[in-house]
Amino acid sequence: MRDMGIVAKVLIIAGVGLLACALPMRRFVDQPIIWHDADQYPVVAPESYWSPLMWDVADKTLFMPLARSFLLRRAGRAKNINALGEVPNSSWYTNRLTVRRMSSQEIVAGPCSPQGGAPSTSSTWRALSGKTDGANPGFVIEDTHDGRRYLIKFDSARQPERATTADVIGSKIYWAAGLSTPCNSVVYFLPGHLVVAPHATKKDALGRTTKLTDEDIAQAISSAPRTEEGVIRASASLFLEGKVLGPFTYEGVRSDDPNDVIAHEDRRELRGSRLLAAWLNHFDAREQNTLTTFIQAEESTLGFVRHHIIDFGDCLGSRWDSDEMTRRFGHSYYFDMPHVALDFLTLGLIKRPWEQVRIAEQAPMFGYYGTEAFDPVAWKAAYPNSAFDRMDDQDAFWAARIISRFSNKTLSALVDAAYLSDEDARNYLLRVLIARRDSIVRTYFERMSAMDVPKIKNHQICSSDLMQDAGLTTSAARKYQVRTNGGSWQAPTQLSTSGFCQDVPTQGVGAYIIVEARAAFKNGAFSARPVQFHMIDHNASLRLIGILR
Amino acid sequence: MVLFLLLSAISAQVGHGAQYVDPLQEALTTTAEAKESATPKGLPMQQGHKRCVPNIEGRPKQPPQLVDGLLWVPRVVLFPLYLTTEYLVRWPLGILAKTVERYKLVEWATNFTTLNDGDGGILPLLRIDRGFSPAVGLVLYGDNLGWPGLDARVGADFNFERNMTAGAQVQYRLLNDWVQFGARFSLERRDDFIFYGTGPRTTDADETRFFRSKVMGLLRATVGPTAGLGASLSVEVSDNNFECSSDPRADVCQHPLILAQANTPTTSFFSSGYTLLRMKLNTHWDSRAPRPKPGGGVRVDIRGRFGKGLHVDQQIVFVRYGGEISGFWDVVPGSQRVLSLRLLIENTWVGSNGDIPFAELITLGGVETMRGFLHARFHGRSAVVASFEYRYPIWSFLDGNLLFEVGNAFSKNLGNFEMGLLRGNFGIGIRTIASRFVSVDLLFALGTTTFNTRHFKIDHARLTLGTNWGF
Repeated sequence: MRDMGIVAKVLIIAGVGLLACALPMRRFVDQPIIWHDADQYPVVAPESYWSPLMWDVADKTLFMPLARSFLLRRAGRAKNINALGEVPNSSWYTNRLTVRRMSSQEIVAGPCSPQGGAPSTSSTWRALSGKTDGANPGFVIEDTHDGRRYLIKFDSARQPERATTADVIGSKIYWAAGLSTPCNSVVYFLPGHLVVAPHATKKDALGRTTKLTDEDIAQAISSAPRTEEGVIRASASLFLEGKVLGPFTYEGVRSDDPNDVIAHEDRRELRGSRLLAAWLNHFDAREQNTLTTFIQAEESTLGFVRHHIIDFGDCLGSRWDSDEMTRRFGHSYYFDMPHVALDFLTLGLIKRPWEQVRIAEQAPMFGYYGTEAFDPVAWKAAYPNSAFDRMDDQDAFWAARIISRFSNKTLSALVDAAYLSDEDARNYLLRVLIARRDSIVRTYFERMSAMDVPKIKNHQICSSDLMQDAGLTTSAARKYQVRTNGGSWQAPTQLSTSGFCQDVPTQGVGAYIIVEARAAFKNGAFSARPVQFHMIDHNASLRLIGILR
Repeated sequence: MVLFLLLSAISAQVGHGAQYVDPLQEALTTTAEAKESATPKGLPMQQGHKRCVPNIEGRPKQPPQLVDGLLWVPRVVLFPLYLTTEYLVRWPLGILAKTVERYKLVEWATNFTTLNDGDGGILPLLRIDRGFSPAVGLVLYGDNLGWPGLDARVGADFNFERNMTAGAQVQYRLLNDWVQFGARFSLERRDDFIFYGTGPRTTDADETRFFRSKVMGLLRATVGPTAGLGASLSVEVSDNNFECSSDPRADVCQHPLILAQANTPTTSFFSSGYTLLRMKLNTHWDSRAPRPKPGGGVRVDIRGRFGKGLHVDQQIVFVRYGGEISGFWDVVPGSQRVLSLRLLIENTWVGSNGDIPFAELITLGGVETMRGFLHARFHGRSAVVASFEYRYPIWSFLDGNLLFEVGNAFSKNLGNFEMGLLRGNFGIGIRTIASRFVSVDLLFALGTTTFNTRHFKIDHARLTLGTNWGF
């Protein structure tokens, strides 16, 4: 009898095990999707952070990777995603194109207020401070009309209109994607429009503060390209709200900010912004081109830290003095040990992508910004970026979905917002932006089954095909398969105008249901990873509680 | 049954009228809220505390995987390496670099040494020379001294091995530096010269090291750039004296050996020294264009040196002449993968009543020719070198290069030249790319015995660092 008892127990355990295997694994809990990460608790202002330029390059390129390699860390999934794989709103991120269609006008307006974001050309601008030496001179100015402050920067003589175009288009694209950016605009002004404020200062190469003079301004704008009428073109970046605390880093957390608890390299919006950078060739996407500001509560010294991406002046084909280096932007780090070692050992027999890049005759101002050698998977910033390096396919898919929502019409409107004087250059830039966007979107939509977050009506779920939404294919060229709770793959119940709908039989109140879907081209195999929609049966209808890609 | 069908129909009707629920709509509400109240929210948090890490995804914590556990084995093994690289290298270096950068110490130092305007100043000098013997010194420089294009330099460096150089020079540049006139005075005392005898059959066993003191005055005129067609002419007067080396590698003073093995009057100047008037004429033509244009082209160098002893009792009269021709082929035009060939031939004519001091003979070895061997390893009245090089890009600032050379020094007019008396050397290294004509090379090179030796072998291995001109 005792033996029989043991046999019975084993059988019961085995039976329960088999039952558990047959039931879908409950990966998500039945709770509302979290769309807000509460990281804006009032805190004391953190210390200002100073970011070293040269050491950051050396450290990220050599020392940090060397030391960290011995820790054998595994890159995990992004840590700040909700059950749908989206990034909740926070001091870092605001859902915009992720969750809704935006008009071209809204995207072009970007972070600028309805009152506009450019200094008035009918009033005088007072230069308050400036950086007058170096390759990129600029001034902080105050518009005497409304007292708003701007950072004014100029194009280089070698690439007229490029840097200002990049600053405007880059800031608006990043903003629409959900990140915080300043309001950047192209402005035109006559030299006499800019006057020195009484107590204006400048910093020289040694960091010493001295008086800013009319001669300094004249010298700084002397190399700025001008129109035939002598009008100077510049980009005006409206000062951000709050007290400036310096850049944020792309790894770790800020120890003195109680709200900052998710390692920055594990934030999906930073990991995924690698694709935004690849799109625009924002190779200079480093911590020095970020900024944090302290937003103070009214009548209180407490506040929270807001995180911004600033300075897009390197985008769209910035050229440096070294052609060898310029060609490599986007393809190789400043110092890329694996590339150097491999090329040395293979006697340079490997043909590298930077050898294929060309300067377009119709738009030389955009340097090597083109499509010839663009590979979104292999794209690199100028030196390692901890968040970019940890971007996985899910992060990339998330970003690609956002990028796919910049329509041709919107991109055309964005390019027009840069007021390029040359029609050929304008058309070239638009063509390249569209081609690179499509390359990114196609690459990652083909890796994963590009089905959107489904809409649910009772026991029917409908998911649209993001590849079709992006205009990269048609319904006639696509096929889909669906299965429920690990059953066999079948054609969906019905095809919709852009995707499919699937009827999911009711399985009782509280039942956990996983519908998997996969998409492919009609003449191809279902090679992409399926997407899983996790739902709870609430009898009258299904409720989506999670998505796994 | 009827009731069931009725309920189903009602249910279907209700369902038909229902709207699709879009989960993303919930986000819009939150976004709108966030937009409206971009102010701090919630109760204040105390300093030093962190808020809890939110479980935004709402997934139960995943159990650790086996691989996570197994990874701890190599982690523990590698932990000392991590501690070393993180805390003994990265941290202190980071603190130092950040301090230097934040307080602009490099800029301050540069500003101090350039006397604030960059047109003049004082610079520390670190020179790593033959045998990686470091020397330290100072250079005072001034450009455009009272007149555009008028420059002056005064400098000295020394190390602790009896080596010392000091010099002063003025230079006048005009026509956009296309024409330059210069004058130089220098004193050089070096203890690291080598001499293995003359001709192609010298062996390492013949090694002699000696000390040389040279005082020199020079006038020079240069026309043309390093690219294209250019020439330079100089007139130099020098006083040269020699002693045995104090280098511990030269166990004994081998002055007698020099005299004995050379078996010519050439080395007689070792003990007496000599005073020499020397005129040098160098011309070159180089068709290569600077990067990023293709690196193909031709370079021709023609050189001549006339030497005459200034002491009545020293019958020194000689003319050294020769040149080199190099061809460069950019395999795929513009790819900067360049194959090149060079042929160098030099010869010396000595006057019927004259002589040439051993230190004025043609030399091979070092940074520019026969790089697998020490600088001036070979001395002779004539020399021939054929070089084959392949250079290819590896970085924005560096090329890799493979080098194969054969050559040797011979008696006058290549008199005892035999193919079997050539030596070979093979090198692999890197070189800077800023200019096609001048590069800093780091090369690992191997040198061989002469080809006709019964026991042909590689008998030299060198790591060279130096500036290479022309080829």
